Amino acid sequence: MALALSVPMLVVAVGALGADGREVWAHLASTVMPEYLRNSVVLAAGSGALALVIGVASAWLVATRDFPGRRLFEWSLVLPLSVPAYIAAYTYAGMLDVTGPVQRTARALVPSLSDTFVAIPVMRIETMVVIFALVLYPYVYLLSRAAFLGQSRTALEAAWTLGHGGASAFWRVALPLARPAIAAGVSMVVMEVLNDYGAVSYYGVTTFTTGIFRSWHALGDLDAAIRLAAILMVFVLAVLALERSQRGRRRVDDTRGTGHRPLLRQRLRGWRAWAAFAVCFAPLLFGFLIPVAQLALWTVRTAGDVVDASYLRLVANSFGLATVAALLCVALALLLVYAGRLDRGRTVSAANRAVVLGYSIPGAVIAVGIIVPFGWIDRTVDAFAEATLGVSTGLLLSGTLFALVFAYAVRYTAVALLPLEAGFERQCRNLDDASRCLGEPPLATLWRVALPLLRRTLVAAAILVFVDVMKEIPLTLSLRPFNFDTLATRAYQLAVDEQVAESANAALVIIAVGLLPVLGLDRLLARGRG
Amino acid sequence: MSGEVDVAFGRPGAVPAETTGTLGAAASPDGHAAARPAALEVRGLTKRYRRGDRPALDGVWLDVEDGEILTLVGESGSGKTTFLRLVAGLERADAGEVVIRGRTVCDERTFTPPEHRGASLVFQDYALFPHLTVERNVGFGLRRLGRAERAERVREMLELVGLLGFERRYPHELSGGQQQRVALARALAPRPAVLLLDEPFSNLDRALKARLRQEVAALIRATGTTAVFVVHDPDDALAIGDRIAVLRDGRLVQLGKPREILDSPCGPYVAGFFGVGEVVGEVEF
Repeated sequence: MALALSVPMLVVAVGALGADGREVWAHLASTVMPEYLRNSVVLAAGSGALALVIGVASAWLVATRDFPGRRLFEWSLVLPLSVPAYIAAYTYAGMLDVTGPVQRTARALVPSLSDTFVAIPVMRIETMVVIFALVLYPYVYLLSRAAFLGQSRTALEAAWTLGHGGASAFWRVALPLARPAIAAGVSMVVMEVLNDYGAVSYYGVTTFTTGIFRSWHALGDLDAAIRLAAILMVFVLAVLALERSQRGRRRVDDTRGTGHRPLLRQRLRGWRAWAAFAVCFAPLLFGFLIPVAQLALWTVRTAGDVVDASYLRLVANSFGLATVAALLCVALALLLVYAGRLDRGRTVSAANRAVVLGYSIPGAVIAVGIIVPFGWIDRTVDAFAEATLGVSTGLLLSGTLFALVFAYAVRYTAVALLPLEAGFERQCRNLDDASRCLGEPPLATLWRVALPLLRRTLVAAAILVFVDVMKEIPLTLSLRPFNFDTLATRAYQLAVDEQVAESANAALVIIAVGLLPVLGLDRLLARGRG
Repeated sequence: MSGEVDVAFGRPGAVPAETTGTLGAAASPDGHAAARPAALEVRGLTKRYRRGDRPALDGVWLDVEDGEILTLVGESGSGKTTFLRLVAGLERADAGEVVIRGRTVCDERTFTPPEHRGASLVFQDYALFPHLTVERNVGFGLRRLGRAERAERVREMLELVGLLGFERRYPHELSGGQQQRVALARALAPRPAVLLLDEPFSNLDRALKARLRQEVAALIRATGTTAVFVVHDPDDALAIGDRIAVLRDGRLVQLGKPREILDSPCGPYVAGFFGVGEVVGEVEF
């Protein structure tokens, strides 16, 4: 089963090393490769660095200082995570457009500008970096805040008594201690950036993901697409390895429960308090409040035209697809985790690690890795049917919902696997062994012991997958059946067709669904622990 | 099967030398061993968790007579818990055989999963199902019985452990001692061929322990169940065991009745462990 989920990665790896590829490689290297490489590196490094600064600064302030609004920021700083990058990207583009609200307001307020139509160069790679950082920094914020809060107060107190005050203690103690967590957060940001297709293609920034789809769809050159996918995969694996090496022998969550006292927050006054407020408010404002407010305005303006039967079909498609994918991924993850426990050996856990890798592999790579074997199966079956029965079977797998759901399973089973693994460790301990000793075979044990104990974790895992599928773009765009749309693909296409305002409705639904885990998950998981 | 057993134990070279004198029911002076087959026979059981490591359990041979209580004692890391998990089927052995009531459940070719072994395990932390009431915890292993029969058996077990009236409680609403008795009732309910107990007294304070260990042993004797207790306290081992098996670094160093162990410990380690002081025997290392 785990092997089936690893098929796309293997296909890409093998395909790229396949025979007579030298020409394709040479062609790629001499044409598009340098540009893809440069853009991808700039985006990944730039967004990662900016997200690091925003995330760590706000996390440090919220975790160790007290200032107006701190309690509010504690949870609201996570909100931008619910805004998919592509939605933020085209919302800002729409706002700053010549006919957008910013310029119209300026013209209305300042009469002398009434004839000026400035084409603000929004659609640039620099803007892209800022937008990615604004909606992805919460990964860094969440992990580094947890790390700061988890650091024993004694470590910092020791630093203080040794003569290292505020800033010095931060640089010399808190930051090094939190480094593995920060590295983990930044690597998640980088993964998301490398996975993105919607935002970069909207801004016309050519990266590996857009390159893969261009070679494949526009040029029909699947060979080139496979090779680009392979390079992107190597890229991602390198980031993962880098993160691992940062983690070193330390454990990210080393909090040593006993004798742990929370940090005593230092109260900030005067301009310092306001500066802290500004540092925390800015990312929230630009990453969430402004885009959402703009989308809400557009939604109100266009609701009459947009909401009709076909819109409801979109909603049904999105929710249906996300539900099926969530149930499938959770079921797969549950079986894989339990098989790992039964096996107690290395085989299954190694397979599970391969599944986890699926989440870091960009959607574009998975899409290529699925279309190749599925297309081959279709052609083979079709040829066989033609020859023996005289009937053409056409496309059986490619372009079906089955292919799409399989792709989701490849990418998102990991999302369900990780919490379930932790849940098993925490909640089942040796209860499954106890059940076996009392005469219950494995499946009955799963049903009578593991499922009831893991109920909350299962729900949480399903919600995570659901949200990811709701906003998914590259896999859905490339593998969906003809004329099948989801809220995400429709929103994206409307935006591409310069109907940004009309896309706002679908975008808001996606964001609203995305808020679910952001706001509820912490509590859900916290209660599940009891 | 019992014929094979005798052959196996008749091979002196295959058995660790120090234990031959007192080994097994077949050779026990009671003399009735031949009439009653051993409930549990373990032959050369070996387990290594990681390749290259010292084995956690290294060629252990012993058997437990029907209705007997054996205590398995040793320091932490001596392989006691590994022994229990191998017998229960929660780990796979690298070598050796386990025979429960004449049925081979583990050898080179056979691995019977835990649910078909008829060995019940009482876990160190009791492992009560937190989502089930006392009644349903005790009835967990009785699914094959009809509803009425099951209810009757649960009642019987709760009466045995003195917890009638606690049926609807959840585990977290019970004291530690009560939880332990529920765990015991749950393990005894399916009438296991052998009851395995992993450090049942390690969570209790000293005063309570002395009383409780007699209670638990009496309970198990009352049901006529064969039991293997894993303990680390030599006093516990002496107090409840019909016979005692001493493990050190995964090897069985002595097996015998409490009196035999105290009178003639095999070497200074066993003597020191039981606080006998002087090495009574003649063995020099």
